[in-house]
Formats: sequence, C-alpha cells, structure tokens
Amino acid sequence: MADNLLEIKGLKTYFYTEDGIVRALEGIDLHIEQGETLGLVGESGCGKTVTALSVLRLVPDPPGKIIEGEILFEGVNLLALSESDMRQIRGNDISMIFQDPQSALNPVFTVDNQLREVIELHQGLDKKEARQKAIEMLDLVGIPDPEARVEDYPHQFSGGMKQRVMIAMALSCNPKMLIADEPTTNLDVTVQAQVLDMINNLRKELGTTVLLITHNLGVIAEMSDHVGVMYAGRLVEYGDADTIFHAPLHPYTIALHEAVPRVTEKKQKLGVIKGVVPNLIYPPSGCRFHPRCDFSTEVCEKEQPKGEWVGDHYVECWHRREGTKL
Amino acid sequence: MNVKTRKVSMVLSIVLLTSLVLSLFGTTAIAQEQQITKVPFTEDYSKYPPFFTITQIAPIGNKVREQYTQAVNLEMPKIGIQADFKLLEFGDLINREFNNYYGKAYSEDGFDISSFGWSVGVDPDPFDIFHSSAMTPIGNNVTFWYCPESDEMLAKARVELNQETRKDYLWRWQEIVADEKPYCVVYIPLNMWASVDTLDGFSGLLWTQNYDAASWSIPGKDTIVYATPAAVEGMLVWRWNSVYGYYCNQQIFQTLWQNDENLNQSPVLADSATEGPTIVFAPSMLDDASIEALAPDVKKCNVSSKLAEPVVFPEYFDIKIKEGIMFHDGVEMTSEDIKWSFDACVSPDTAFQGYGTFRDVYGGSEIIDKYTLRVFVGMPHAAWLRNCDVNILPKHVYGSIPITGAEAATGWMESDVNRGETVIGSGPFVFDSWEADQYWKLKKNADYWGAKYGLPDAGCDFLVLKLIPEREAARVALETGEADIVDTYYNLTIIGEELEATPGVKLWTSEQFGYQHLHFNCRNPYLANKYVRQAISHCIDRQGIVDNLLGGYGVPGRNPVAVPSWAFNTNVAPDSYDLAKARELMDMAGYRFYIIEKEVTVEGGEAGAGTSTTTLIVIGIVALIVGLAIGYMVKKKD
Amino acid sequence: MGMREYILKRVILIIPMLMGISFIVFMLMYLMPGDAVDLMLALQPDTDPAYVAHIKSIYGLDQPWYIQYFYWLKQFATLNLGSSFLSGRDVSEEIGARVVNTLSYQLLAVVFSIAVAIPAGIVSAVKQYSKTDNLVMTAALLGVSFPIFFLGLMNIFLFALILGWLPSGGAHSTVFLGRDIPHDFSYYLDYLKHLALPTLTLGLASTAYNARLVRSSMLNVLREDYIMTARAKGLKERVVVYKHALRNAMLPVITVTGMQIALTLGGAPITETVFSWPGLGKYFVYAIQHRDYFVIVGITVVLGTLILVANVLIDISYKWLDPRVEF
Ligand SMILES: Nc1ncnc2c1ncn2[C@@H]1O[C@H](COP(=O)(O)OP(=O)(O)O)[C@@H](O)[C@H]1O
Ligand SMILES: [Mg+2]
Repeated sequence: MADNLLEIKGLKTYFYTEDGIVRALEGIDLHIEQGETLGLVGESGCGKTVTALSVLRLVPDPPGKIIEGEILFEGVNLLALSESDMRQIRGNDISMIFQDPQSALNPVFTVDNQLREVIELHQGLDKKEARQKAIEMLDLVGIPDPEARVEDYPHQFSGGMKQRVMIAMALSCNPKMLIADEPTTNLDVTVQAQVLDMINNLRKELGTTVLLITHNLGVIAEMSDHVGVMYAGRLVEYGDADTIFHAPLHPYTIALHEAVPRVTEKKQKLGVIKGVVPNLIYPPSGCRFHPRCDFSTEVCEKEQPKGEWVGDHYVECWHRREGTKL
Repeated sequence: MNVKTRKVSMVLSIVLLTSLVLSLFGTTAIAQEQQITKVPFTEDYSKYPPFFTITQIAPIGNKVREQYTQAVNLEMPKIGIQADFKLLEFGDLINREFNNYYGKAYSEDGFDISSFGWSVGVDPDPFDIFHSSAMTPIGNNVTFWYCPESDEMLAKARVELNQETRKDYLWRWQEIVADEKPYCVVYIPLNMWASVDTLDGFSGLLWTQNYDAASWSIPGKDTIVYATPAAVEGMLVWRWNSVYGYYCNQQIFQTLWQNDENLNQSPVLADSATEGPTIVFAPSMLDDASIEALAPDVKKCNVSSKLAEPVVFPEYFDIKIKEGIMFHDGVEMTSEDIKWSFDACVSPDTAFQGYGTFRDVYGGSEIIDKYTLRVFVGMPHAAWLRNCDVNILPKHVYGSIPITGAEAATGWMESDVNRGETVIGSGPFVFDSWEADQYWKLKKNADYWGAKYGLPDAGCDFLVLKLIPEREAARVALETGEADIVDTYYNLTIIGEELEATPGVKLWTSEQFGYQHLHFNCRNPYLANKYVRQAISHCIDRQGIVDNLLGGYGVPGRNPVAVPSWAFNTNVAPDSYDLAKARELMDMAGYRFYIIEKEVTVEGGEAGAGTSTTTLIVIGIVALIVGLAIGYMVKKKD
Repeated sequence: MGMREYILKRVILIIPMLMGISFIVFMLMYLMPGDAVDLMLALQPDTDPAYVAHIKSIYGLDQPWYIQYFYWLKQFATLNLGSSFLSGRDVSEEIGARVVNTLSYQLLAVVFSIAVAIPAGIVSAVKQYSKTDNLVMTAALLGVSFPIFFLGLMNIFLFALILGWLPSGGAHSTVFLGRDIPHDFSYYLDYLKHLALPTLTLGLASTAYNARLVRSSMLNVLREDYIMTARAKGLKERVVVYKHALRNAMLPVITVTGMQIALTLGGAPITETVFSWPGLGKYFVYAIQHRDYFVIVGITVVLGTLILVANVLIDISYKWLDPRVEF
C-alpha cells in the first residue's frame, strides 16, 4: 500500500468529560490514496470531525485524548511526532477548512494578514512576496479584484467568499492533503455547488489529496473516488464511490441513501433515519447501529460485528445486504 | 282630672321613679364592682400601650452619640414613652433645630428630642443657649425653654465683673437647670492625644484653651509633625472652617490675652487693661424693624432683648500693649494695629468667624498713644476682656484690603494672605508653606520678641500639621515615625487601651470643654412637663455609657458647664439611672397605668342585675316617655 | 460616519451633557438641607439671622436655586467655575491643585490592573482548572470581596508598619514639605513611593475583577472556530493565544474598562481618605459635607468631562481593535 498518503490504524479518541468518557472514535481504520478524494459520510455526531482533528492532532485537550492507534502520513506516524514537528505539518502538508466560514476567519485581522501568516510561516517568504502569493491565491479561488480585497476584513465578504478565502488559505502552501470538513453545509444552496466545483478543479489542478467530510451523501457523489461511512465512532463501510452509491452493503449506508433529499421528486422531502445517533458515553452493545436497524437480530445486540474485506470493499455487519441494488 | 286618670298617672309615676332609681342604683352597684389597681413603679411599662409617641433624632457621624441616643431610646418604652428613632444628616438636623420657629415638632419639620454636643469656654456664658430671648432662630436656645429665674441668673452672670458673685449666680443657675432639665447632660468625653514618648512641654489641653505649641519640643528632632483628621483649608485670617485653621492662625497671629496652662487668663500682647468710669447701659431691645428683617415669622417668638435690664458697667477699658512687639517683617506693633484689627472683626463684611460675640463686645475705640487704645464697651459682658481675643494683624501690611463694603469679603478671600503668600503675624511661629489637603508648615520665628517678657521661643524649628483623615492610618504614622503627635479629634479613646499598650507611645488626656447631651423641645405638649423631662433623664445609664461606649474614657454628665471650669457646680449630683424613679416622675406628670378589672356580678335579685347601666337608663327614659304620653292622652279625654 | 466626524460629534455632545449633569447636581444640592453658610455659622454662639442673611447675600445664596444655576451657567460659558465658599479660591485653582494627584494614581491603578489582570486571566484561561488557575481565581475572588477601605488598611499595616517599605500615607515625606524644597529627582521618587499604596489598593480591587473578566472572555474566544483555524495553520500556541485570541478577548474587557473608569473614580474618596491622598475624591466629599456648591459642581463637571473623553477614547480604541464596529 505504498501509494497510501494517509493511513489510520485502530484510532481511538476519547473525551473525558464530567458526565463520563465519550468514546468518540472506537478503533477506526482508514486510508487515503495519493491524489484521490475520499468522502467521509455519516450523520452529525458520528465522529467525522474528531477523525479529522485527530489527524492534525488538534483534538481539544482537555477533555479529548487520542488513546490508541497510528496515523501514518507518508509512512510517518504523526502521533509519535514532537509538537514542533507536528506544527511543520499543519497548514503545510495537511491543511484543513472548516464547516462554518462565518466563524472560521478571525474577525479582527485582514485577509491579507491571515493569509500571509501561514505563507510566511511555512514558505519562508518575506512580507512582500507573501502578499503577492496571497493575492495570487485569492485570484485562484475566484475572488474578483484580489489586490483590493486582500486588505479587507472577513466581515466584508459574503459567506461563500469567506469559504473561498478559507480554501485559498488552506491551499496557499500547496499542501499534500486537504481536509474539508463539511465545507458547504453552512452555505446557500446556490453557492454550494460552486464551492464544491472549485475544490474539485483545484485539487485536480494542484494534485492535492482531499478528505471531504459531509453528512450528505449527495454532496460527494460526483467528487469522491472512495467513500467511507461512519457511524457512532466506527467506520462501518468503505468502498469505491461506485460501489457505495450503487451496491452498498451496510443497512446504515442504505438508510443514508434513503435520507438524501431527492430534488428530482416533485416535493423535496428529506428522508430521515429513525432514531438518533446514540450517546457515545454509553454506546449500544454489540453492533452500535442495532437499535435503529430494521434487520437487527440477537447476534447484533450481543457482539460487535467483524469487518470484512471483499476486494476493495469493507463492511462491518452481521447481515450484509448482499445484492442490494440501488 | 278624674280619679281614674290620677290612678293611672300615679302607677305610671311609680313605675317611672322605680326604674330611674333602679337605674341609678344599678350604676352604683356596677361601679363598686370595678377593681382598680395601680401598676407598681417597678413594673416594665413596655407591655402596655405608650402614653404618647414622639420622635427622637440624632445627627449621623459620632458613633458614640448614635449609640447612646439609641440606648436611651430603648429605655423610654419602659416608662411608657414611645420614641421613634431617626439618625439624620447633620445639615438636616441643624435645619430642624436652628431654623425652628415657635418650637415646631418633628412632624412639622422641627424636633421633639435630639442629641448633640456643645463645646463651651472656660468662662461660661450659657446665655445664648438657655436664655428665653435666645430662642431659635435668634440664638441657640433650641429647647424653647423659658424660666424667669434662670433668665435672671443668666442675665446677671453675664454682666458681673466680680468672679465670686458671678460664680454664685452660675451655681444657682445650674441648680435650676438640674431641676427643670431642658437638657440632660449625658457625658463629658475625655480628650486624648497620642504622641511619641519623648514629647515635652505638651499640656494636653485643646489649642483653643491654651496655645502652647511654642513650648513643645522633642529632643533630637527639629520638626514636629502633628497629625490632624480634618483639613486646614487655607490661610483664612478671619474665618476657619475647621479648628485646625484656627490652631495655625493662633501660632502666627496673636491675641491680647490667652489662657495659661492653668486656664487663667494671662496677657500676651496686652500689658494691662484699666477700667474706665462706670455708666449705666440701657437695655438694648431688638427693634421691630430688625426683627422683621430677620424673618417675618420671628416676631411671634419670645424675642425680647440682649440686655434685659439697665446695667452699671465701665464705659471703656484702656488697653495698653507691650512695647517692642515686632511683626515678622520687623515693624513694631502699635495701638493702630489693634484698632484696625478690631474694626475689621466688627465689620459684618469680613465674615469674621467670631463676629457674633465680638459685635456685642466692641463699641468702637480711640487711640490714646502709641501703645494705648481706649476700647469702648459695646455691651456689658462679664468676660469682656476675654472676648477681645481676636487676632491682631499688621495694618501696614493688610490695610489696603477693605474691611467694609461688598469688596471686603471677596477682597480678603482673594488676597495673598488667603493663598499663603504674604502671611505676617507676630507669633513665635512664622508661616512657611501650605498645600491644599496636605499640610501646613510653620517655621520658628528666630527673632521672636517674647523673650524679654518671659514668653517662650518655639521649641522646634518646624511645626507641620499633616492631614491624615483615618484614625488607623494616623496611628500607623505615629508608630512609623511619620507623625509625632496625633490629635484628639480622632477619638483616640476608642483605641485607648491598644495605644496604652504600644511601646514608645505616650497618651495625654483632659476633660473636654463641652458636653454631650439630650435636649427637649419644651413646646412639645408632652415634653413641656418638667417631670417628663426628669423622668427621661433617669432613663439614662450615664455610668454605663461611659464604661461601655467610651471604654471608661469619660465622665458622667451633670451640668451644662465645662467640668474643669471654676463655674462648674460640684454640688449638683448626676441623675441616677433608675427606671422606678422615672415612672414615679411620670406619675407626677400625670402618666400612670391603672388596671381596671371590668368583671361585674351583682348579688341578690335586684332589677338591674345583669344589665348594664345604659340599658337601665334607656328603659327609664322609655318608661318616662310612655308615662307622659299616657298621662297626656288621659288628660285630653277629660 | 468617518472617525473624524464621530469624534467631533461626541465632543460637541459633551457640552449638553455637562449642562444636564450640572443642572441635576444643582437641583440635588439644593435639596440637601442647609447651605454652606448655615453649616458654617449655625454652631457659632450668637449668630443672628440678619447676619446669616447678610453673609448669604454675599455669596448669592439668598437667590432661588435656578437663578443661582443660571448665574453659574453664565460664568461657566466663559469657562469660569466660580470660587469656593469655604476657601475663597477659584474652583479651577482648587481642582487644579488636586486633579493631577487623582489622575496619577487612578491611571496607574488602571495600568497596574490591566498589566496584572491580562496575564493572570490568560494563564488561568489557557490552563483552565489547573493549579495556577485555581490560585489566580481564589486570589481574584478575595480581591473582589474585600472592600477598598479594608484592603487599604491591610496594605498600610503590611507595607508601612510591618515591612516598613512604603510610607503610610500622604503625597510627600515631611522633609519634602515646604516652601524651598527643590523639585528634583529625589522629590519625585518620594512622590512615587507615596503613590504606590493607593495605586496598589485601587489597582488590586479592579485587578481581581478584570482577571476574572479576561479569563472568561479568553475561555469564550478559545472555543471559537478561528482559533482552531489558527492552530491548523501550524502557528505556535503563543501566537495563537497572544495574537488571535487576546485581541478578540480584549473587546469585552475594553467595554467594561470604559464603565470601570467611572467605578474606580467612585473608589477615589475612600482610597484618598485611607491614604491621606490630596486628590479630588476626598475633596469632593468634603465639599458635599460643607455644601460648597461651586466646588461640587466644578468637580462633577471636570470628572464628567474626563469620563466622557475617556469613553470617546475607548470607543476609538474599540474601533481600532474591532474593524466590525461602525460608528
Ligand atoms: N470537545 C468535546 N468534548 C466532548 N465531546 C466531544 C467534543 N468534541 C466532540 N465530542 C463528541 O464526539 C462525538 C463526535 O463528534 P464529531 O466528530 O464532532 O461529530 P461529526 O461527525 O458531526 O463531526 C460526538 O458525540 C461529540 O459529542
Ligand atoms: Mg462535524
């Protein structure tokens, strides 16, 4: 698996809160190949963001702690790096953009200041060069009149524009990997597609590997090469996009498909999966999905299913829905 | 009228009479059944409804006074008086008491019972506080007390130059006050100073009684720092808003006489005073026009005169000053300076602090020679010479500042001297410098003229009065050496015991020239009765107040005269704390509780049994009317 | 609106505000029983009302209050604050002699308080629930709950009496009091020594409050997404905290400091009394007690102006700190 850029093995991240231990990630295995886009889906609270933050070692501590596992980036275990070595990776090799562009930019500094900061830090450019680079980046993400806009403060940009600035910032050091945590969730529907397109174009152009996190399967349909499905701190299914979209095996993935809003229908209705994501302090026994699963049996309640690889397709279920065609 | 008619009327009359007699009999029968018992004087009255309710006030500020007022307040219900307790802003209290026309009660913005303290001089003149002509707002008789004999004694004592005779008047007057009790003197606090134990020549008397700063010295120290709790506002020569302004004045400017450490009047600038021939002074009445000018309401008050009767008194005194008195600028003092200073003090426009007293004293003057001034008596006064103690300023320095007319007040206020720039007096200290809210600095007068007359030179090179508002801070300053003497107005007695235990600190005490008191509005219908006032006086646990509130640093009060004064009547005993006695006095005032037991049972089968007098009377009246009506009808038939 | 117009507008607004304040103060003053002359003369023996009336007319106190206010306003229009009934000197002169003393320790106290509160608050926020945090917060709680008067006396006992490091009160040592004292280095050093305790006392009182404020503000800011962004850029924690978090965390602190200026000035009378400090606060209380009307109004107007100007400065600094603010 030499062409894996990132490989996560048996990752466990817990939060030690006053109410108890939140087992946010309970042993995750995941890999991303060089240059591909991996979509990571799951309902809110499944642990997608925690996975991303774990990779960057930015899980808020206290209360969070990565307690077990390995995160290999280009074969190097990030969890074993010193804090200062890790800082060399953040924003330089791996950068991240966040869900809410409204609050992800610091309101009291100019865009120039915030862009230059990361450029100067990792690329060793002087102020003038860094500014030039910042303007280039803004231009690249499609911000009109970048020379003037670079002096503006975040509040002078619209939501979509801010996310573009975030993307510009994230890509300004030419990272090997970009983690985009629900980059379009908080944007207008009309803008969502533009931003996604742009990410897609830029990664092709720059050859960046992308980890695209979303709770909406529809969003990654066109973009991802592989898709991972997360549920309650576990990776429950993984496969190439085609398989996940057309031949999913896990009942949760199937339920997610049904929950995708179908714009084609007359009445746009958002299907929902019955029940809620469980409390991760006291997760359900056995298969964590069993209380919500239509196919659950006794064994589901009692024992954690073993994951199984079928070729490139991984699924973690006692009753894999073989032959289900969507 | 036939027989039948007569019979009917007779029967009716008998019925009527019987019922009337019965009704009377019934009444007496019931009255006899009521049990009346007197509540004994030893019993606490607070369980009964009060005889009357009044309001007791005291100014906020002096903690001990607040406490003793409250303590007395808590005793009063026990003798049947309910007094609502109110602590008032000083300004509010002043207004209620000193602008109080015809003795208004608390509910009418006047007062009923109040407490504060007076400070009085060595030579007592209680006239202004107790004479009926000095009722507020004219004078300071806030109580509206009127007693002809007291008035007589006060008026006589006021103009008697012979101290022995004067003493007789004042002692008699104190007996009257002790009986009439317009004031209840509660206690006399002690003055207490704390100093470094090396301080020498300190008299432990207030500077107002004895200006002894020149004799102070501390071996090995050329600067003495005196801590004061209030500010010296500025070099106001005629008026001072705190006593410290006056203190400092007295070290720079001098007066004709001052007290020695035994409180005897002794000459400073004066050499001698010779009485002129006596004349008769006619009574001086306040004329209607001037009363009208005061306030339209005032003439309804009992205002009569300053001098009620004709008095024989010297027409003038020839005052001779010492030769060779040198002002700080090297110019000799002459009778010109005395005259000019006197004229300035008697002018209402200079706003001189002692104007009220001095105006009555001074009737103009005439220069006899370089050192002699003939001063005419404005109004006879026993302490006439003592009351001439105004500062003598150099005319050649300040003469250009007007002393009359509208510019006088502003002129003096805006003058250099008020800014501490040209301060020239004749005393043992020379003004050095002053800074608002910080300090006053006096320097030893190296060329003091006093030596040849046995007056001491200053015992230190510099005397600094330093403002330290807080007692605790002043005490720390004393311990750290930042201050050498801590003034008495910090109420040091509160921490007296701790200070006594502090090494290196010496305490100085003396009885205050003043007294803390309760006083009454004698025009209050309840308090007009002297037995009520006496009763309240017996509610005051004077010894307890001294012991518990003053930590023993005080004396139980007796007379409204300074304790150290020759005029203090030592025969008057302080009122005991005796509530039974107080209730007895309330009885004498007409306030007594009776217990009436109303249970009524009449023995035998009498008609009135079980019925009340009223019912019987009603029956009687009805019978009478019926009888008359029948009689009338029968008569008509005839 | 541009910055310049804004400042101009605020400065012009000060005038009607001062008129309003002075009007209210006048009204309140005359509601207090007794005036300066009453208090001066009431307890003197032998004061007759004619004399009292005469003295009152000298000071214009015989007029109704609104007339007196009108006269005062007329004077004030020429920037004349009148003169003190008690001392006879000009109110501006009286205030001038004290205002520097008040501003000196007040400003130092604010500087001290901010200088201590910000690091304390930050450390405490960054190391939330650590031992340092607990220590700082306990100290702050104590500081907030001690009255200034008590704190002042404790400081005097500790630093003046027990340790003997600092003078117990006043503005100058005795050797520096006097006419011919040169105002050289040692004179000012002595002044600074005297300044230390009032500054410390007043400063501590607001430090405690400010540290808690900085901490909670900082904790809020550290939870913000842009802090995560900053960390994700690979910035050092120091840069994240002192650049990205601090500036945002200062916004509520600055707002509160604006209000605190009035509050700390409110602590002036007590502080100045405890430390025998010749400032405006103590003088103000004195003037109220003695009904020195023009001094009361004068101080109100001067302090009012200072507070208003300080607030304009704070608004400007706010704008400078937070570009989102629009005037
Ligand atoms: N700082 C935190 N403290 C405690 N629990 C947390 C914290 N951050 C996340 N979690 C918990 O971890 C789980 C996964 O959260 P997250 O990764 O944010 O979900 P999502 O899939 O929506 O991104 C949730 O149950 C959440 O409550
Ligand atoms: Mg998330």
